[in-house]
Amino acid sequence: MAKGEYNFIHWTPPVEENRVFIAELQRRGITKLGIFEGIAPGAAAVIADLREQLKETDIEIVTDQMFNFGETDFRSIIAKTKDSEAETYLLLAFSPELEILAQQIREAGITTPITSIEGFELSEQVDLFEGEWYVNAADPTGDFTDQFVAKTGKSPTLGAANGYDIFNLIVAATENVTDTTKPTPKQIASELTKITNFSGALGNLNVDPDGIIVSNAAVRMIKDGKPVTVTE
Amino acid sequence: MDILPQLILNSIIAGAIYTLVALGFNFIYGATKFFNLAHGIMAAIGGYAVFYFTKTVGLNMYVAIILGIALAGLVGFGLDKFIYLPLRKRKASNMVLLVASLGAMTAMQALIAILFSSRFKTLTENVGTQKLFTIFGGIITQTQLIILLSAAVIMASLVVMLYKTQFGKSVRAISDDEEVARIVGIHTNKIIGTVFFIGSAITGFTGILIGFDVGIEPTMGLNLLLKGVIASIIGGVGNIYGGVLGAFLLGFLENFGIWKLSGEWKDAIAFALLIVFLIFRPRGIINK
Repeated sequence: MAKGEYNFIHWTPPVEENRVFIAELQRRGITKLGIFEGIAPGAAAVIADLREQLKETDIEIVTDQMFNFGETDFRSIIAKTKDSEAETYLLLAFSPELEILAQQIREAGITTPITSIEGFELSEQVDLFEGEWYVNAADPTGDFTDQFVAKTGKSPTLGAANGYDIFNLIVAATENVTDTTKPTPKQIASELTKITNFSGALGNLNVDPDGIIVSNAAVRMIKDGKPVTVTE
Repeated sequence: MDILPQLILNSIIAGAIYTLVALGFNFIYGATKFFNLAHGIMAAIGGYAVFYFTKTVGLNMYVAIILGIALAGLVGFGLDKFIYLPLRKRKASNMVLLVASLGAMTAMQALIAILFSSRFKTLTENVGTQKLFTIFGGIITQTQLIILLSAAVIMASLVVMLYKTQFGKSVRAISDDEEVARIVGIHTNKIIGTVFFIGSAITGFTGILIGFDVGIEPTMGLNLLLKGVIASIIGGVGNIYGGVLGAFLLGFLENFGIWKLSGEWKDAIAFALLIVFLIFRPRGIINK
C-alpha cells in the first residue's frame, strides 16, 4: 500500500517482477538459487515476496547472504556460498555495492551466472554484466519512446516513462474534480484512486484503492553494453 | 576456493588495511594526543588525486601515486599548520581539536563530492582483470598482495624511524611530554607538522590501494577511520605495535564472525569488540 494520505506508487511492484523472474528461472531450468542481498526495505520486500512465490515451484534458495549498504569487502560471504551449488546468483544491490560484489565474485573464481532485479540497469559499470539477464520494468510504449527520442535525441532511461505517467495521472485526477475550479489535495487524491484504463507511457494503467499502479516487468539483458528487452 | 584458507586470507587482508589506517592514526595521536577525525579523509584525497592525475591529466600511474601520497601528506600538514597549530597555541582543549577535525573532515568530503561527484569510481582501467594468486587454497589479488607487503614495510619503517633516528626520538619525547620536549630544545611544532605529513601520507597511500582494490567514493574515509580507530583502541591507542595487533584481531574477528553469523553483523562485531575493550581494558591490549 502507498503509505500516506496523498501518496501513490507507479513503479513495477515486487510481485510482478518476481512473477517474471521465476518464469525465466523455470524457462532456463534453474532449480537452485543463491542470493546476495543488501539490507534495505526495497530488497526485503522483493525477497519476502520471492520466497512466497517460490513455494509454488521446485526452485530452492540454497544460500541467502545479507550485507549492509556501504560494505566493500564481500570476500568472506562469497566464500560461504562456495558449497551452495547455486546455479545462478541473484544480486539485490545497487551501485557501488553491486559492482564491487560482482567483481569480487569473479575474482573468487566463481563463474556461476549472476542476475538481478532492477540492479544491472542502474549500474555505472554496465560492462561488468555483459551477457547477463535480469528483470526490470517493461519498455515504454513505442509512441512514448519515439516522441522522447525526437524531443531529446536520447532513448528514455529507466523511470522516464513513470515520471511522465505520474504527471499526467495527477493532471487527469485534477481535471476529474468538476465541482470546483480550485480542487483540494484531498479531492485530487480521491479522484486519482478512481482512475482506470488510463492510456499511459507504460501501457494501460489502473490505480487501485491503495494507490498502487501495476505496470509490467520484462526480462532484459545487457548486450553490447546496453540494456535490451528479451521478452515482453 | 576452500573456505578456511580463504577466510584466513580475507582476515589478514582486512587486518593489513586496518593496520595501515591505524599506523597513521596512532602516529599522529601519539604526538598530539587528540582524535584527528579528519585523518580518514586522507584516504579519499589519495585515491581521488590518483584518479585525477591518471584519468584527467593523463599522467603515468606511478607518478600519479607518488603525487597522491604527497598531496595527502601536504593536506595533513596544512591541516596542522592552519587549523590545529593555531588552536594548540590558544591552549584549545582536545575536545575543541576533535570538533575542528570533524569540521575539516566534513568540509573536505563535501569538496571532493563537488569536484568529482558522489559517484563511485575505480582506479583500474578494466575491472576484474587483476592478477590472481592462490595461496593454500585461498585466492588473493595482486592489489591485496601489495596491501599486505605495504603494511609490513610501512610498519617496519615506522618502527625504525621511531627508535633509530633523531626524528623518532623527538617524536617519542613529544609523545611523553610536549612541554618538556620544548624546554629541552625540540622544535615541537615542526616535528608535529612532519608527523602529520607522514601519518596522512600513509593513509593517502592506503586510499590509493583501496581505490585499486575496490574503488573510491568521497565518504570512503569515514568507515576506514572508524575501523582504524577501533583497531587503535583495542590494541592500545598511540602505540604502533598495539595498532597492528588490534587491526589483525579486528580483521580476524570480523571475517570469522560472519562465517557463522550473517554478513550484516560485520560492523556490529567490530563495535561490540570496541565496547568490550572500553569496559574491561580501556587502554587496550598493549598498555603504553
